[in-house]
Amino acid sequence: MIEGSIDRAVAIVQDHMFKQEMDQSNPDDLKLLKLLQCRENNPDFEIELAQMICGEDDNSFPYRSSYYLTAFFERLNLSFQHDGTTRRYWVEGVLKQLDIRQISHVISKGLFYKKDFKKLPKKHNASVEETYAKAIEEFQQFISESIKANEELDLAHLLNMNVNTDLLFNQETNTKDTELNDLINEAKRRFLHPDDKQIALEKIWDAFERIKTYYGTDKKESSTQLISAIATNLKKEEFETEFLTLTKIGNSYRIRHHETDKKELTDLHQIDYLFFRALTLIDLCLSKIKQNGD
Amino acid sequence: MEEPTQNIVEGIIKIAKAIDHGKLKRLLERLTEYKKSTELNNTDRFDELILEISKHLPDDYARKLKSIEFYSETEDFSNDDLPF
Repeated sequence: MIEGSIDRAVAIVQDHMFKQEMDQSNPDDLKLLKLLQCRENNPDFEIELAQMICGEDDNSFPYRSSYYLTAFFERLNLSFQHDGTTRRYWVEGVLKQLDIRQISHVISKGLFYKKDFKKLPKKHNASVEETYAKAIEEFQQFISESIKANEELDLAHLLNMNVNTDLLFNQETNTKDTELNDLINEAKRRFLHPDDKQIALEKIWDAFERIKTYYGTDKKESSTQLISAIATNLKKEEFETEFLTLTKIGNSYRIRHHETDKKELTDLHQIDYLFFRALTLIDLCLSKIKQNGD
Repeated sequence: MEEPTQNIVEGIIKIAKAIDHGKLKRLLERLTEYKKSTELNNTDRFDELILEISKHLPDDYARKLKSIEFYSETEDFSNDDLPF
């Protein structure tokens, strides 16, 4: 058997299983998913990461000789010994044997281990802090380019959103008002299908109207109570304006009413914008409702 | 699609996924067993295992798995006990 070939196979299966088992409301899992997306989209993911670990000439990462490459993995409790072959290809081979959790560990605890930036020989005439910041910047660019590497395929997919947006999107709503929960959950589900975005917008607006009556059937009184709950630092007026603006948009455009005088929304970017604007406000209300035990 | 029908379909899909996931887990255990052995006596069996695993993976993952070279060219898997 070729050394490491079974580990490569195991890593592929583990990555797939992670995707199936991951918790979409867990920020750590979402970070791993993001990294896995990079691995899926970028066919050069391992070799490009290997170049950073080796500290090749054109990047800001510390140069690692054969001895330091072995030490690098040893410190991470990964038993690999450099065999004298070309460093970047050897590291690429090692990375292919690691699943996405281990890759994440290598990046956070190894690639950005600050002591190595201080200890290993400098390549540029810059301070450790400057080099470290530059290395972070280069890594971020690698991530961003990896995601874009297969852009056509994934553009329509929501997993390409940033971790915070994913988190906002993947939380299941679970208030005492089941109709409100259903509206929000359906709106999110519909939004995932490009053909259902208009319906998603209508549902999220219905949810917005519904949440206004969370504290009672008198919409005005209930809204006032809700605004008081969310206005912990920002002034109440800011939220009153936001509530009014969204209400006005809902009534003026073909979102809640479908009379011929209502303007139709056809620009998908604007639909996305309005959807997230309403969802973010609702999410803030929900977090305060939960926090207050209401 | 009516909501109750949709719920049933979603439920069936969930169950099917769980069964598939369980199967894959068992296949993964069999694969890791091979890590312990230094020699591979039955390549056919190993190839079958890889093929079986690939059936439970999405296309891009299956392709990656099948592209792995498991055997070196110098390895000799001939069996001395062949009846000729």
